[in-house]
Amino acid sequence: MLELQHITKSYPSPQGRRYVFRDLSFSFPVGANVGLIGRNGAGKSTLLRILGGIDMPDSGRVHSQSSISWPVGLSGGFLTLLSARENVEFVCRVQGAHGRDMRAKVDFVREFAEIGDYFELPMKSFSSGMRSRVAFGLSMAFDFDYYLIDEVMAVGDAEFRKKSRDVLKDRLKRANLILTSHNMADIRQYCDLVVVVDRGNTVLYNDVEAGIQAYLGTSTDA
Amino acid sequence: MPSAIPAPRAQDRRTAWEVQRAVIFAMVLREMKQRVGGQWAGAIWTVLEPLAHTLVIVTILGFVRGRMMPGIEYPVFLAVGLIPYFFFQHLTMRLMDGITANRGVFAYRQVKPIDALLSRGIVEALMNLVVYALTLGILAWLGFHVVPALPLELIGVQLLIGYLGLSMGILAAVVSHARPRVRSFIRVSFMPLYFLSGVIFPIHQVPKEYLDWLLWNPMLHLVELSRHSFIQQYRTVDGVNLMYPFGFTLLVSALALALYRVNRQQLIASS
Repeated sequence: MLELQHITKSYPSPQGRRYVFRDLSFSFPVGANVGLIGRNGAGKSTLLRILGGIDMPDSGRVHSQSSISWPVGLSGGFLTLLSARENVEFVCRVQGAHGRDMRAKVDFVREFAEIGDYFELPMKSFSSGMRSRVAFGLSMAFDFDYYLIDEVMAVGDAEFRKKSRDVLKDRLKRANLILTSHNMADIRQYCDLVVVVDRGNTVLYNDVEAGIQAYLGTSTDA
Repeated sequence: MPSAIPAPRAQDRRTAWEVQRAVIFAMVLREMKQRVGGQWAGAIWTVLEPLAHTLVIVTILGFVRGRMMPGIEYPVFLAVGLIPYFFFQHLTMRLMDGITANRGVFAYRQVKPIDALLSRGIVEALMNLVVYALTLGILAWLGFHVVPALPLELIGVQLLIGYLGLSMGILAAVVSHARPRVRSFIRVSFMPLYFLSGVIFPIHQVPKEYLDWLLWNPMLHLVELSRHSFIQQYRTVDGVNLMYPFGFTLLVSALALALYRVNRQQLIASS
């Protein structure tokens, strides 16, 4: 169960406070993969950050007993002076994976990323593709109830993309997905239902196509 | 709040304390690897800086000053005042950049800015310990007397310096987060503080009417007390006491933590 209760979120700006959400309550249906769609600036990413515990609402709360991932494929947390292995170990420690558990996760990421000996080298020498491989593998190394994905689907070459899709599909047998995207093909592929975020409101569409149509109808940039 | 629905994976849910411990441990390791593994030159300089500093000043001033304090070895006098001062300065400076430098890591929900700051503080304290031991070791090897006269007092004063540096660092990090230009101002203001803390000259020589002003500086008290607890013959200036820097530190730490608490969202948000 994942529920937003009376969420209000605002940011200060030179022209006064900008409200992203005012008293938003929303319950994510159990066992569904949810796509968040909306215009740029509608609040999708903010919502995802609040769900991920990175941002706190001004008031209200996220009520959940489930484990929620960090944004999948996130590589901003890596220190480029450290090797990929050291960065992966860091995340394992933070997430509470020790000893054998940690070794298993490190091995998983190493195998998944397929970057060979680069895995032991400082990440500053990595291309952005290699960084993404490590980051995506790292996200998949942990079991969460919800995986949060913010617009990252197309990393790496065709083969790696297929592998990524397969492992994600596999994780989704036991977990769910909350995905923001402007790419409707992604939404159609992964999501069971759609939430259109617009001017601080959320509307749930049980039918993906209906949601996409509603969004495209209100949208000017699609 | 108890829930009627059985929580999935509740069996491996960690307590707050376990998460806190894991995060600090992970961050300390990460900081150390970054300091040592990344730039050897930087790590070596951190260790050698006070030593080089001591040597240079001793070479320039040693002969002049040596006669002014009978019974006190000037290099020891310098080292045991210099190292605590640098400990304070490095803590404040390193913590000031601590949030910005670790921006990306707050995407892992367990890691908060205060964890990054505390971890940096721990690493800085460990490095200072190494610096202290190494500098004293080399001075001992050169034939100076380097056994502290009052070891417990010395440890107490160093802990207070650490706490003051930590508090100042948190304060500087929070205040300068929204206004990065404050940082150059803070960096520059360490220059006069270095001289006003009586690091290289004995404060006794300052006339009384100026001394009263100098005593507003808590680091002067702490540097003097560090020396006194190390060198038995060294008498602190009248007016130097532990209560003032202690009270000052408590005040700064309360202010720093309050401002941190108020701004904790903004500190993460601009990542």
